[in-house]
Amino acid sequence: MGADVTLDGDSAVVQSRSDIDGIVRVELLGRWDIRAIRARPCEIVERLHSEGNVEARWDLTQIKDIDAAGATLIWRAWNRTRPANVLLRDEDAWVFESLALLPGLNSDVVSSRERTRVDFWRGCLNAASAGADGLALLGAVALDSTAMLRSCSDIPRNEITATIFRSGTQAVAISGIVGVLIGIVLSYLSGQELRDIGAESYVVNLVGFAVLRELGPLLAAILNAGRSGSAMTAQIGVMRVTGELDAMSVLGISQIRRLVVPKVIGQLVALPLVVVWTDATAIVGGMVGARIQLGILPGDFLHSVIRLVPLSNVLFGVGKGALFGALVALVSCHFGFRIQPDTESLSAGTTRAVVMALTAVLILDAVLAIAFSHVGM
Amino acid sequence: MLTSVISVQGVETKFDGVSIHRDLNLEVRRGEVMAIIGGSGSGKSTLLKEMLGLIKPCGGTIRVLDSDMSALTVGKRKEWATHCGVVFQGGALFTALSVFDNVALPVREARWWPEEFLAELVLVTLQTTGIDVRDARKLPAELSGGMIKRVALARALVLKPELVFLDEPTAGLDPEQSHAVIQLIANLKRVFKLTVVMVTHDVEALIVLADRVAVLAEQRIIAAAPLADIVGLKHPFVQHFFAGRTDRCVQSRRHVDSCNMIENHSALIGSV
Repeated sequence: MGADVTLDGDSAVVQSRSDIDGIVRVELLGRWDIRAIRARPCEIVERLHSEGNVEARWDLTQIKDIDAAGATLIWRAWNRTRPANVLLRDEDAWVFESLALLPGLNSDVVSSRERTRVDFWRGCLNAASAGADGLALLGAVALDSTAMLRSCSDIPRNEITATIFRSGTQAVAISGIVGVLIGIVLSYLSGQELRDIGAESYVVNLVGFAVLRELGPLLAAILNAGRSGSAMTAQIGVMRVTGELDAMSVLGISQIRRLVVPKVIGQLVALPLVVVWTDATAIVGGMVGARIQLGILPGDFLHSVIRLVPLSNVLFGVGKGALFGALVALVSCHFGFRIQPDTESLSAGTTRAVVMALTAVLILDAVLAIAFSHVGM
Repeated sequence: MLTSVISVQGVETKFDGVSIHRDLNLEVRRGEVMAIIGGSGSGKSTLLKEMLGLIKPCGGTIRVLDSDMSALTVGKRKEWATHCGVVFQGGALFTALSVFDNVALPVREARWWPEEFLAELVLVTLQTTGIDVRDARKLPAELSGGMIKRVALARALVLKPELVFLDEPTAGLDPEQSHAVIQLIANLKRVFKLTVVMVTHDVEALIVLADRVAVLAEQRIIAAAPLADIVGLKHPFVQHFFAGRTDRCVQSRRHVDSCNMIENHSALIGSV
């Protein structure tokens, strides 16, 4: 009596027959490596189960090639214990010995998923420690900056000018485009409404106050957080990944003084300039919008802005820009230093830095709006 | 069946006008271990990257496993990749994935094996390269240099490739670890019937593993021959490289061969 089961052309073959003493003999032939059997592993396991059991005689000597994949299937058919009657080539023994060494498989051996689970209280604790770290960073920056002021030779000029270039010069085009477009939209849409109630001339007040006091600094800061803030976090994060931060510590270079202080100072200088530029382009946009919608001449528009909007508003906006710049730099650096040396942490840290920088900017803006509500109105 | 697994013919490489390779030729035969040596900046890693299709040479042809590397389409490349394993110098493990998931990744990507049988396949492969299964859930950042190499080897071997590229397999390891990794590669090579291309500076790795050694100097392969023949070359780089160690290289190959005969395959498990 015999049963031949061929599973695949030249791959694994299972043959079974009864020996004279009535015990089933299962012979395995062909190639039992992952390449040969990958098409139908489940089917092979089923065949193995149906053809033989632990009591059967297993003859594996005619297998051409076996690896962990093929052995796994046979091991399953054996219910994870080696039967008493197995004929095996010496060179194939290692894979079954290895399988026998495996502990009972449970999910915690193989899964790393739980690492991503968010624990509420741990989240709160992290937020508290992040806040404390942020305060510590602010203190360290203040101390290092004052220490630097005492000896001018310590000032990292190259790093400061590099920050001014990246956050200022390189942001000119995008800030200009955004400024013009927002100016046009603002005056165009508000012009429509104002004309309906016969208050066309108030478009100047609206655009002037909105842009110079709020939108200019805010737009500049939002663009800055997206452009420069994320870059700062990523830079410090990559320095952690590549071990450069450790190298700096070993060389005795202060990370705060070399990485954070220049960024804060650079942003303090660059962002007010970007705010002035954004203000100017938004006013130009407002002029264009007013000309198209209401027919107000650009010269008249500019005159009215200068006459109606007190200079203190412009200065208040520029001052806010400086504060926003420093805040973005501090938040970004803070999250940069919290990045762990792996890619997941790098991307999560950068995202968090941008979101936190934007939130911080908006909160600070709200606080300043209330605190200085009497200035320039 | 092809006897030549890799065929590099007349390869020219230039970076920003600086010539790296000029008329470079190399053949790797099935089943052999080809070691590539050369001074730093001689273009060893560039050659390896060209063989992997990561860099396109300016001229010449590179055929690996009968595929022209410059004409490999995305679809073909995926199929080709299942025949090749690569161990990068730093391991290049995915830092966000656990050891287990790193080794499971090629199998999952190729969709070769159902998830229900995957655990055993991955864990046995890890054991084969000497990783304790209890370390399977660790992240790469928690591993030592030697363990990273072993996990990278497991990832390279899990699809049972016929060709394996090793970039400095012993770099950054202490002598004991380095010795263990060399022995491991020797055993794996035999059990998995691999063809191996390896870039190395390690003389012990050359003695134990290399069937032939290719010397990359003067922008081309100046010789590709068994180690005993290479050490006799009158080239300044070769003489400097093997300074004082030529006798060992000539004699010990015979010794290594006899050792390999004695060891049996269960040595793989012994290395765990």
